[in-house]
Amino acid sequence: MYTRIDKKIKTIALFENGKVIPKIFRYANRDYKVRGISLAYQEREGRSVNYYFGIETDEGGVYKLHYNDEKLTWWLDEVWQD
Amino acid sequence: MARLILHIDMNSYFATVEQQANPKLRGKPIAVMGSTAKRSIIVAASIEAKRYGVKTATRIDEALRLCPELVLVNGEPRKYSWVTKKFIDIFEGYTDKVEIFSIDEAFLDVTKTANIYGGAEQIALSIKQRIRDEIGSYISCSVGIAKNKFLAKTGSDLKKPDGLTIITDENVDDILLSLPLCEFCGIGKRILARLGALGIGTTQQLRDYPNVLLNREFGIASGEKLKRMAYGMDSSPVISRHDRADAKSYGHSRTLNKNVTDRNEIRKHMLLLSEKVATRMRKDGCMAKEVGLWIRFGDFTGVGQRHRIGKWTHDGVEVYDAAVKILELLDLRAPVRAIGVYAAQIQRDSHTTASLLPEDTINDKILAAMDAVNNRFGETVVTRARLAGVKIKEVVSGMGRDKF
Repeated sequence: MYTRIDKKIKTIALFENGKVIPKIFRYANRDYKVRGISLAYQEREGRSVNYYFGIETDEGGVYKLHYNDEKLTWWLDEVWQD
Repeated sequence: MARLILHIDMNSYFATVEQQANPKLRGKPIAVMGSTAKRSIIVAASIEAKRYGVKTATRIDEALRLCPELVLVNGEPRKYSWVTKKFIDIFEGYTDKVEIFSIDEAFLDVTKTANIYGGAEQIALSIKQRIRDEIGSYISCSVGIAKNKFLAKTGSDLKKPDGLTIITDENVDDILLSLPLCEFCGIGKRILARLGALGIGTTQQLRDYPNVLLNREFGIASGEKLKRMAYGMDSSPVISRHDRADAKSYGHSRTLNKNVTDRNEIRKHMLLLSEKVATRMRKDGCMAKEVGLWIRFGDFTGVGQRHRIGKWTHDGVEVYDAAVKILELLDLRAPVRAIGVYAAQIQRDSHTTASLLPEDTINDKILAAMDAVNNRFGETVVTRARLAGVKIKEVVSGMGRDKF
């Protein structure tokens, strides 16, 4: 099941051709390398846009992140726990 | 020239999107819930869960009894809306005639464009590939190709998941005559029972039944439609969203977390629903002259009424006031399980006569200011004081709104 985290996190991301692609994020003093993005979607919230990502990491975890383009902030929303 | 229609049906849609988003759910029986409440129902079951008998509208406790290892996932409407938008964008790359039949189904009329892409079958294969490439490899769809919408829909239902069925003049009889009538789009339980009472249990029997007697039972329009279905005939056009007439009504409903008898509690939900109805009307530049309310009880019976109001409105409080008047007339004979508010008799703002009363013009300015703030900062940043602290959660079924 997913566990809600809802914490701001530091993320290294690539902004390219109108797309944003997270590469590495730090959570609980540990760096997680993004192996793949399983689903990317977005939602407008007023004038800003939240970009959501379903993410698989090298250590085998599944995470949900989002980036807000107005606050320029990354959030770790959820972690999947078996 | 015979038409070329595709019907595309996303397989186990919400569940598959969740499996796409989370690879750890793939291959497992999962179900998407409308809400976390125990009384909630399954909104979508994965292909794996369907094998256990779990399907849409199964209650959660029943679903867990059928499949104890079922993984329950909270539905996320924004995710499904986005994916729907993406696949509609793909469809509209092949024709401008795309009719969105529901959040996970669409008709495409490719009569005029099929040649450009190497034929209807090539379009279907290309769409399947693009969905995999551009949305996600786990998301699949079933496609039916035929000369009309009814047959195309029939075709897409024949092979799931990831099917492709072409119905032609050569195979149409074989398919229709072997298909149970309950599989026909448009023949539900009630019609099936009425047909059964006439001694009609198969497509052949429907074909053979005298038109006059069929029309006597169902009326001319429905009787003739049933007869045409038996032969696979359907002349209804594919109507794109750009061609579609304005909405005929706006409605919102919600199932409560527990059955409620307190009318104040019911009115609170009605105000929230009325605000959502009115906000959507204002967004579309529309007003209504009729308001309706329906109440469903714990035993799934219900009551409802609609009333004309004396003026055009797109104000949530006016919608609410009209709905409250209806509530006062209703016999709440049992605890209330679900509530729906809707506005009908819709007209464009520009086609209505604007009020010159100062209180109305001030109110319009307040609503416009509220909408401007909410458009800028998010949907519920400014609300009525009466609604402070009260929130409606996103509802997955029907994408948070009901059709009336």
